[in-house]
Amino acid sequence: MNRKSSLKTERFSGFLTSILSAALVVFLGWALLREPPGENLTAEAIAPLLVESGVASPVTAILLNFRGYDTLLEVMVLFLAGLGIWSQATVDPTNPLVFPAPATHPTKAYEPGPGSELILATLVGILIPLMILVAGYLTWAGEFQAGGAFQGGALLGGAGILMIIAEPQRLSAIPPPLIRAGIVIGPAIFLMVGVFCFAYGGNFLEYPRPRSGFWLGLIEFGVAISIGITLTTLFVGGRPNPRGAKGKERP
Amino acid sequence: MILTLFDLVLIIVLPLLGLAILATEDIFKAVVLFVSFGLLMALAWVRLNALDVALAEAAIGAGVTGALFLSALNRLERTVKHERRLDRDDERKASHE
Repeated sequence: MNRKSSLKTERFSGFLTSILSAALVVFLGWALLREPPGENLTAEAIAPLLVESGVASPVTAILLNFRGYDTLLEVMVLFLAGLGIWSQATVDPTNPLVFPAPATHPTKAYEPGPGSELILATLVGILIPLMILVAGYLTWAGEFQAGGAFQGGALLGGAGILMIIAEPQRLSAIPPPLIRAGIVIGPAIFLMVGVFCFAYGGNFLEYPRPRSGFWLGLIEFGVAISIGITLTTLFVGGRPNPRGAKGKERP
Repeated sequence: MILTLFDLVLIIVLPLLGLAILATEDIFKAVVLFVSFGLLMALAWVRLNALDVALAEAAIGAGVTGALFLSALNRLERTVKHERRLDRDDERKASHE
């Protein structure tokens, strides 16, 4: 296929994509404006059930208690994404962000000044403990206000990404089994609590009634840690390979 | 009244920002615009009374996805040497003329 016909097919497929996307937007708008909002998931309908669910926030009650199975599947999807990235590539843990050699590209890239490493190191030293603290607070605050496991885990992932960007050589100090344990702990705790509910006579993920807030907190704690470490792993982009990136032997 | 004006500004700016992301030829500029799009989207979620989604959008949509895009762009410029930040269409446009 020569260049001219490939440009034509690209233009046609771009045109087709924009027409279909516009049709999707129109259809979604029509569907949204036509149906009244559902009756079962409003705040007034949830309020009498909140005491039973163990938390004070209706969003967390729905996410982790009433529709807990969906959240379990979401956590599994994130685990699969981490597994996919982990199996695709290896990364040299002593140098995870291998930058390319200075290119012969005409536009000059950003050249760091003499003191910029000091600024970055100081900022990172102040910010990362604070981010971990705020992530823990956000996870705990999900019980009664906006927050929860996903928000805290996302902030934890941001802290991990900041650490990898600022001091990439520290990745070699983390033993890989610890990273694996961190990725696995969220889905593992969720599944184990779900199975443990059988011992109390309930169904899968039917928490024991008097103190179901405790089980929700336990699940949120594990899921937040797991999300943070999985997001950082997604950013690093591969499993640690002590023999350097693209090493020939398997570790 | 102020909130209505704020909503109007959001409604106008968000699609324009989306169009700007799709129309630029510099991929790095598109990534930066995508991060700002994520931040404005978080504001839109707050206006829709969905605070948890707003927190998640600000952290993941603007933060983590921006970092992932930049990391992917970095790896991309390692496999395609001299097309560091320009869109692929430039090459095709040049060959079409």
